[in-house]
Amino acid sequence: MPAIELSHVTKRWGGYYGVDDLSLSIDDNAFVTLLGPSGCGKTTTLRMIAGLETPTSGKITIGDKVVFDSATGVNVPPNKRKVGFLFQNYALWPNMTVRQNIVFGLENDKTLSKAQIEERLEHVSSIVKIEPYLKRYPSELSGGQQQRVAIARTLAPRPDVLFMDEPLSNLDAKLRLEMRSELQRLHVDTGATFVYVTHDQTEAMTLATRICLLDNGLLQQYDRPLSLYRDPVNLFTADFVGSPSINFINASAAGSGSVIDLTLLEGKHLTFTPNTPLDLAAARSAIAADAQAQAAAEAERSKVKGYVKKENTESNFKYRVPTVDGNTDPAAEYVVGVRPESVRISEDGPLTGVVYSSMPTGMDTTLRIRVGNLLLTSVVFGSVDYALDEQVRFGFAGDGVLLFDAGSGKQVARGRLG
Amino acid sequence: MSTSTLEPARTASKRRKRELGDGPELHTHKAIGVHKKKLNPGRIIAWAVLILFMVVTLFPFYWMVRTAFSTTTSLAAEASNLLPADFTLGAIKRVLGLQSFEESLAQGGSGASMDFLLFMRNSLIVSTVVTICQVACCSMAAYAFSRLRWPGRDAVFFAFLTALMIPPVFTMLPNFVLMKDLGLINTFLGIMLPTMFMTPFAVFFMRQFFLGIPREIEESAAIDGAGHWKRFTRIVLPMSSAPLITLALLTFITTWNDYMWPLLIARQPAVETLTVALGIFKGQTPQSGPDWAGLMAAALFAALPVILLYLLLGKRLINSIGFSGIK
Repeated sequence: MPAIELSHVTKRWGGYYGVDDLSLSIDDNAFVTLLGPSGCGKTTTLRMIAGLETPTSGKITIGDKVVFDSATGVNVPPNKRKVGFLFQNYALWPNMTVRQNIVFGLENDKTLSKAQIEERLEHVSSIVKIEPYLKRYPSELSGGQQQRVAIARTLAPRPDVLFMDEPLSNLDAKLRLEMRSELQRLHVDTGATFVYVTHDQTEAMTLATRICLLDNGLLQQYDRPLSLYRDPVNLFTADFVGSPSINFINASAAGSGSVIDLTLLEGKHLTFTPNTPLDLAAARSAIAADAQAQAAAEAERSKVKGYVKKENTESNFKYRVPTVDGNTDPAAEYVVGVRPESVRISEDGPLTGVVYSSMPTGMDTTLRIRVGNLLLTSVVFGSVDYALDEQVRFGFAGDGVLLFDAGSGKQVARGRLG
Repeated sequence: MSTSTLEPARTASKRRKRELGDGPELHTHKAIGVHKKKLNPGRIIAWAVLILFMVVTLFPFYWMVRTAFSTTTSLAAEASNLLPADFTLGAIKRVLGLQSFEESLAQGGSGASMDFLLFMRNSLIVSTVVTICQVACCSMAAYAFSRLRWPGRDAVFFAFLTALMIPPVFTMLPNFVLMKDLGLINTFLGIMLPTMFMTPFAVFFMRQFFLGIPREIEESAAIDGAGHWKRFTRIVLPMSSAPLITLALLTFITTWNDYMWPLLIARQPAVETLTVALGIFKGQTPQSGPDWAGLMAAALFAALPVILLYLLLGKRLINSIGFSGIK
């Protein structure tokens, strides 16, 4: 049974679509992150589920209860949705002590006895280790302690669903890392469903069981973190997930089946072997048909009463091929995406480049390799360093090289490049 | 110390290091000395202007005190005397009803007795009730204007604010007719009603503060199961104690000092407020002039509660006005 179900949820302000026709199913006990650049609609989505924002249209179900339905006019207020919400700025009540902050929500629940409230208070404050501060006021606590109090307050009523809106962004780097692992523990220990908003892809990758990636109000991909990383559906996802960022290389392609000849990196020829045989022409026409179907669906939608034309149709995202002189590389029909760890330095690599920069951390070294005017990022594991301007040979390892259609940004195939 | 001044080429930081090494005590002494020398002409002028304003502000008050301790009959003769003319506590006694008729006449009083405590009680009743009601109602209205969503809210608020522009004199006569029709002449309710529930300023003042409270503070309470009323009483109001006290203080003082409306509406001793009752010392005198000493002594007593409030809460008042101004 899904814990939360969103179907065709739209939120717009005039012609600006904050969230555009979002359908999402969040499983019970999942840890879902809503990820995306700022202004992509992730916080709005979270607030709509919590009831703090009213969707323009759509339907939201929590558990087996419909909490919002624009068709039937159902709109359950937030205090009746039995959810917890952790705010970015903690939103502790300054006029109450830590203890009062935590029990406030419990006292609103008339079914709890005094003893039960005491017990809950003890329990949650021991989970987040704030027992010594119960008599203090929020202003007398450090940022990290305030954060813990906010978590305790959110946990105390034992919500089935816990929403978090960038809860770690106000903490310093070290504390953030610590809290991250505690949140993961908390998720397992409480057995609640977590929905977590962040713009930090590392946070999303490391914490979530599933990531919902949004851009410009539109769902880009909803998948497990590693699937998102390995098998991104489009250029935006490929670019947004992963640090350092994926390499994009403009390419032109010829051939079909399992041998596709790619021309890339200033005229070099490599063979792309897709994991499943690929008909380039067919794939492209499928993409075109898809776009047509979408336009048709949009036209259908526009006939519905109360439709407002979407003004924010253009995403801010443009894929970028890094160059030495900063000029843009002339666009091609296809884009090859290679993760930095797949750009492998080896004696017998098919390509040659020059080390542009080398940044060892001890655990790994991030290299920038220059090929003509183009730059590629490579991560070499282990304690190695390279001299700048040294010539290196390299190739692309593994079967995870991605081929995208440049025009639509859609992924066409995964495979080997050599 | 002297070596460093003889070597102007040295950088400031170097010099500071040296001085700190030499002996920090001497250094601080010098710093204070330098600070004192900063009294340049500009500062002197600024201070002079401030002092002038203070004198202009405080002198009438002083004159009231001085007259209160004078004998009315000697006032005309000693008009230029900065000290009380023919010092006496007679006027004070007269106000408190402690002086005999003969003594009163001899000192230039009217002989009329004033039931000071009664009028004080009336003023206290009016001011307290108005203050409590106004703070309660205005904060609720302000909450509705700042946090609840209802159609036409901003238009209504705007209309409400325009009421600030209307001079009180304009509404005085209609209000009087209304009170008369309601049969509320010479009643406490009649005095209090026009300002008892709301004034645009108070609503505006509280609304501005409520708008400054982060939305999340209330949203988190909403998620914790608190409805609007609980959020208002348990979170918003306690968080706004400073502006609430300011508002209460301002309302109390305004009501206490109000003269025109109580004068119109209530002329019976049972409900007359202190400001109106002071007229006793001006009016019915059989001799040539008003009983200035008695009037000033009464005015002094009338001003005392307000002065006391300022002394007790003045700092808080100024702080919270500044606070809400930033927000």
